[in-house]
Amino acid sequence: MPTSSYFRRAAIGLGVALATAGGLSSCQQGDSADQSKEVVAESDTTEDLKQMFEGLHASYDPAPSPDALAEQSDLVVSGSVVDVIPGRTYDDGLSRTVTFVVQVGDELTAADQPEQAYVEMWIPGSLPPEEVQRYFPPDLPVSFFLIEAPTAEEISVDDERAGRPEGAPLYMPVSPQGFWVGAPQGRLLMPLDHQEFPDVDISEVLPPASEYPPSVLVPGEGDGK
Amino acid sequence: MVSVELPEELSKRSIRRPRKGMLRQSAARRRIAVVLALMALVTGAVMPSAGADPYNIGGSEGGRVPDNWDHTFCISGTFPSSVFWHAVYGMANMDDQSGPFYDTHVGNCTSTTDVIITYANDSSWSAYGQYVCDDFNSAGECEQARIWLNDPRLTYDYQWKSISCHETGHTGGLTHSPNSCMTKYGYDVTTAYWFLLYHQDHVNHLNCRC
Repeated sequence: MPTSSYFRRAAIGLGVALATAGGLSSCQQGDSADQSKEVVAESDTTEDLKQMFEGLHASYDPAPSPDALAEQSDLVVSGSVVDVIPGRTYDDGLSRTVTFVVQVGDELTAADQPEQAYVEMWIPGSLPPEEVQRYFPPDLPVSFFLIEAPTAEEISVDDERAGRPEGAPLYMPVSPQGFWVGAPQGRLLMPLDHQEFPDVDISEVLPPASEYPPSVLVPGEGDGK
Repeated sequence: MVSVELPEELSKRSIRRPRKGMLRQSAARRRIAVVLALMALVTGAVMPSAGADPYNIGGSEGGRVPDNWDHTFCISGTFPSSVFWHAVYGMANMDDQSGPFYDTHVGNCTSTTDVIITYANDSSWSAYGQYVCDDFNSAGECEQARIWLNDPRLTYDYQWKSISCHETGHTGGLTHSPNSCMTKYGYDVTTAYWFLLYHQDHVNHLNCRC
């Protein structure tokens, strides 16, 4: 049977535990309070941009380097999103895409630099183009690794020619690694994979870089999630 | 009620008479064990478990929480007959593994269909599959989701089933999490393992949509 000294020890233990838990808990509250301050301080359109893509996920084979991703792509461009326009619609009439009109500042793979690239995107919640446009101020740098979007022969779309001027090719990101946004305070966003990297310049994830910066986790080489 | 399993030395009485030094040692060990057990009990009870549950639903790595457990689904595009049942495996599996979720196939895709399973045939697209919630309600729940399964990237039946399980999991709101078909990227990139089932914790979340 437990003795009174046993209960005394247990009471001391409980006191220690409560004090420790209280201490840790208040530390944690302090941390989260600091974090929320930070988030509020950094709140800008890119935060909304990140949230806009919640509800979109692709499962894919991550490329080990910008070079490798460029090899999988038809076109790699940097620039800015100057317009968002209505895109193509599936023939069941239930899903509409938008097209990002990208003013090409630097084209990194093709011989003929296009002035503009038309990129088909899925936006969760089928947000209208004008709503999407709000999150892309003209000075926000973006980069795309692109492949040609499937044609009406490959997917069932109602309006094959929608989403770009007649004759212009329509592209889409080769994978979630194919869309990067340079955000304020040196942050880099990978919106289609819902990731953000501090202190990385957008040029570090573009060709001719032969590897990703250490802070950009390359799956299989440290992520393992 | 939280139960704490005490170390064996605390739960059993020693039959042999211990020497003095041993007695001091075991008393000290007992004190440490009691403190540790109480700390575990107290911290578990009062401290927030930030990020403790990787099997949650919603959030940036998760799908949108669906508006109900009724998962009507339709097929968009033409799946080859050899892979059709693999493509709809995810719906059947979610129905089987969870309690309240039930899948119902409908012939035509309409605005009230919950999940549109779409055939993709794009060899240059570096994706096995994709999920998007196309329509939210005012509570932010998903009214209609579309998933794609990209044929040229899916060679084996277990890949079809695994990605079907993964994308369908997002339609239930599930988040990326290890040791299940909800693993990020669709498969475990370190072991190249493709999973066909949800974790039991996923099932618990599916069952309450919370």
